[in-house]
Amino acid sequence: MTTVPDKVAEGVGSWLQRSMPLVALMLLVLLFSLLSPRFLSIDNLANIAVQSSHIGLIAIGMTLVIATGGIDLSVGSVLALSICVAGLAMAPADAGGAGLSHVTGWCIGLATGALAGAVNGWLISGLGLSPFIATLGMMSIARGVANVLTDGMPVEDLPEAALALGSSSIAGMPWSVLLWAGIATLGGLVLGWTRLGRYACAMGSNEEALRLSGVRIGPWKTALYVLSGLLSAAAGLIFLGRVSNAQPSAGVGFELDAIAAVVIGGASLMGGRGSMSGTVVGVVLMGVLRNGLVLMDVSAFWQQLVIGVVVVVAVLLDRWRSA
Amino acid sequence: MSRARLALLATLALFGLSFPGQMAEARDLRIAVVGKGIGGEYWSAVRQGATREGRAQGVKVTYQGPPTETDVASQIAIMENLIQSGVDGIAVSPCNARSLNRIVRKALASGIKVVTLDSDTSDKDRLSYVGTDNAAAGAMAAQQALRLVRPGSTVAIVTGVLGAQNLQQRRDGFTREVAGRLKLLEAQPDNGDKARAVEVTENILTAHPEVALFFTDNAISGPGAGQAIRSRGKAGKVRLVSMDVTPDLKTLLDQGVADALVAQRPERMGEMAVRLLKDAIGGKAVPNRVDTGVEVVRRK
Repeated sequence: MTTVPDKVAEGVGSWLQRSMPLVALMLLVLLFSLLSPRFLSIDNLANIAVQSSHIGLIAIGMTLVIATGGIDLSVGSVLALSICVAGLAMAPADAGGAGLSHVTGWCIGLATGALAGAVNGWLISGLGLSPFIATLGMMSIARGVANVLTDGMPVEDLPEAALALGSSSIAGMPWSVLLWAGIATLGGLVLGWTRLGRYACAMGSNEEALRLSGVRIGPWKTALYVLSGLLSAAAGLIFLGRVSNAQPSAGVGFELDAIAAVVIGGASLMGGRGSMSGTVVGVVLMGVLRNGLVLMDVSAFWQQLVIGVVVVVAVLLDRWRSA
Repeated sequence: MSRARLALLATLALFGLSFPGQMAEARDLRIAVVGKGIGGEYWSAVRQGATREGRAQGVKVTYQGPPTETDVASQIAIMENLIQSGVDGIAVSPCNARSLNRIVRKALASGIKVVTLDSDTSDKDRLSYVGTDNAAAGAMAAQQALRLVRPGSTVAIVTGVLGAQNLQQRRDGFTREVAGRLKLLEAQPDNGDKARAVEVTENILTAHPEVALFFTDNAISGPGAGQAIRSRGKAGKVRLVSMDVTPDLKTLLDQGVADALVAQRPERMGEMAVRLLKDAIGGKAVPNRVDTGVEVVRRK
């Protein structure tokens, strides 16, 4: 028999569980601000937000895909392919490009990402490949196509306007951060309040039950992989502005950063559970770690170690929570 | 639940305990070395050279680098974080010559002394570049080639990425030195992939059986070409001159597959970069470029 105080304790407990990533982030912020007087400056916080924004966008799509119990390993390669295609579209003709306007180039890049996502979706829900295998294949295919198209060389001489999303601000707010905040909010709404979001979680907890209830799963699942591809391409447009050219080697390892952020944010790799706010916190937490450790003159080896420890601790927490 | 929280708190406390010591030190000069990567013999040598010189000069040196040599975005983020941390000097080896231009200017504008190391930015608006004079290194390799084969022999070049500036300079240096004395085939790229270097070399051996010597301008093409030459049974018949000295290249040298290696001096790069930065911070003028030189390693 449960008493009222028990219920209150349970409520507080479950709130704490859900907010665990946020609590961890706040502790980390507190720690770094005590250790480095420069950490809490506006400049530095903006710096962290800008640095995290491209992984932030990728992690939004990754959250949706992981909620289904799937995974998207191709995000980094799709990012590279999208920016190379966009770059070739925008670069002037004498630099081997098509000389299109930057907005057209962006749209072509986004379409490329969506197309790669659609292929992933088709391989998974149409041909029944496991998401791991399908997206592992796409990881290699997209990278290969990017290298073939660019001959392995960065696409240079892009128009200045093409770089705006990663390098300029409006009213003091960097475009990249605004985009991230906006799309994360949208992503949260999709996950929590739309049929697509509910189906995503339902696929992750019991796909068979969802199918038996009369839902045609294929198109919904494909839509989620399309979103993941689209968001990887959007992340690419920010990335383009950060590095000033379109490199076919861009984005190696981004899938791991995004997956780590999603898991730190409280999603389960087994599917059925995911939180957009948690993912945002997970991305920020990794950004804060990387920034804070450099601010404190911690060398690169120790940074790798610490970030690895944090990811493992997050997964352990995940297991304890779901136990 | 409480177990989980304890674990988290313990982790955080661990940070708290291990790092404050570094903040408590008096205001030493702080220099950061940002490599293209953090693993591998080459970057370890850079780091060791820099750290040793830092100790000698009484400067605090930390080594940073992106997880992979193509991860430009991480390298830029590291630079941004270093600017925020208010270091006094940065020695950076750009993962991409153009992508780093903007952040190098930003660092200089915020009063940080910046030199490039091993490779340069395309705008060259750092204080100094410390590294191999690649054209001279290429010429040095060419002299080895001229020593190894008869005049008029055919030479093939296997390169990494066609657009990489340092490799281009090495090939140019090589080409100028052998001009009119050896016949050069067009350079073939392997895009930094050893397996591809093996294929490329095999294809050249098939298409041009008259090739007497391979020149490989980097530490990945070299072992790839060596492997192909050995597996075709051409060791000692087809000569190999490579840039860089790595464990696998040393093995090829000992086995008689490679004939001469032109070694860069990464440790000296780290050392010189820190010394120059210390000078620049102290208000001394520094040279626009410092050649760290090469040395030729031959079979004993």
